[in-house]
Amino acid sequence: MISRALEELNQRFGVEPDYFGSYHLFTRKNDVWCSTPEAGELKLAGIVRRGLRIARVFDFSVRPTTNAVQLLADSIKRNKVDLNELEAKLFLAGRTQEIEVPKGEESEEGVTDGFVVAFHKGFALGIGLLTGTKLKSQVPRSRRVLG
Amino acid sequence: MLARFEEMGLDLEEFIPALLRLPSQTFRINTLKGTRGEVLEALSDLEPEPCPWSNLVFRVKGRRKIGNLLEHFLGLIYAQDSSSSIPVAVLDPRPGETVLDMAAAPGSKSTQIAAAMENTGLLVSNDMSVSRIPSLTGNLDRSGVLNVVVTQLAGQSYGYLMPGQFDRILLDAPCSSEGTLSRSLRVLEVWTENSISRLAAIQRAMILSAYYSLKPGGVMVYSTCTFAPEENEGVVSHLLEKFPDTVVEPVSFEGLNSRPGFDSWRGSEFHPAVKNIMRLFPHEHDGEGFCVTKIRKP
Repeated sequence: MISRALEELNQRFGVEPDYFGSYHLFTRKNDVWCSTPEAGELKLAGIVRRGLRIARVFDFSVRPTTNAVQLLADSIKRNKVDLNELEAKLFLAGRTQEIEVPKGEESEEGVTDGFVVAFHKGFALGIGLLTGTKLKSQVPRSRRVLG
Repeated sequence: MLARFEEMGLDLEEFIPALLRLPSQTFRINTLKGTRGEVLEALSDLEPEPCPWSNLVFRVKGRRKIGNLLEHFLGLIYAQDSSSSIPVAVLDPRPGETVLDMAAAPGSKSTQIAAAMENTGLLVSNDMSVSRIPSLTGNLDRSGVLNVVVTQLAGQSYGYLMPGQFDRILLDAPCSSEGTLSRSLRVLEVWTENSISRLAAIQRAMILSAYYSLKPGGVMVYSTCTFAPEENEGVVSHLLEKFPDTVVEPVSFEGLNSRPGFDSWRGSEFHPAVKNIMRLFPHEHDGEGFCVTKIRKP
């Protein structure tokens, strides 16, 4: 599951697997988590969780988390969509919207259907699901900014 | 409560209005997500002014919903009262260390510690309250913290679960919260002399547990957001009575008005070393009331 997540991060978003070289990766149910080796090794009663969840692995796809893509922003090279002010607000509110995006795999700016990373003013906002020209925000309910 | 403040020698005409007035809003730059320059550029319209104890903590003019800013969503900043950022500045955690935040929720200080550690080593963020764990994990996630283990244990248990294992420990203890009255008057509903005694007993147990968990040569910061001497000088004196070799180091920052700890309260003398406690009062400093003690284990 870990290798599938890293492969997808690399193939779809251009994140080098080396990025996680010094970290401890582990799985819980369908999720891949990342922590420092020291945090991964601690044995203690009462542990609720370690590190940060970086991806959820589905049967046919891998969805990186909003928190992960915000941390990885500088390493993301492909399948990025740049949103204007209004689009970014809608995205942060968890809405689905029509956007104009350069399609195709020919250029670095080109995006393909599937999970994409939404950017605004150079900052990675989070993960969206692109189908045609429809972008569905995947920002978790607890992180949404309304108004 | 007022009578106690008078007994502390405070000028109530100046102190009470300041206690009830909201201090300037402040935020801390989270260097795990962005650089100081990047964030300041993005927030230039807030005209942020740096606080004297950290080049990452800033006051803003007027009142803004910092929690609604894009930079907050992105985890580039953390809205945090200026006083609340001081204990970690005193703790001074370093990359690669093993650090415990014993009463961590909602996570303002844990995220500050993780940033100072540059997301390396081990940070154990503990909170006893199950209902406060989601706010803690939510803030750790938003801030991009990777070096953390979150635990839900009584702080008192760390002394025997992990003895002598931490380089640094922050014990920002549950307290009567007198210093936060400007934020919520609910403090008055639950405040009693008895509650102070009850909390002081818990704090005494927690500070001993934290001390046992500290490595020799390690540093612990004990802090509260209350003025009650029983919860500050009384608790630190209790530790010093049990472990007389313990060192209480003086704390000060240029440009920050503070007072030393009280030497006595209601006829009881405290250990002389508690004069090194840093007391912050809202009429002398633009922030909530706080007490901060830096302790070194020999």
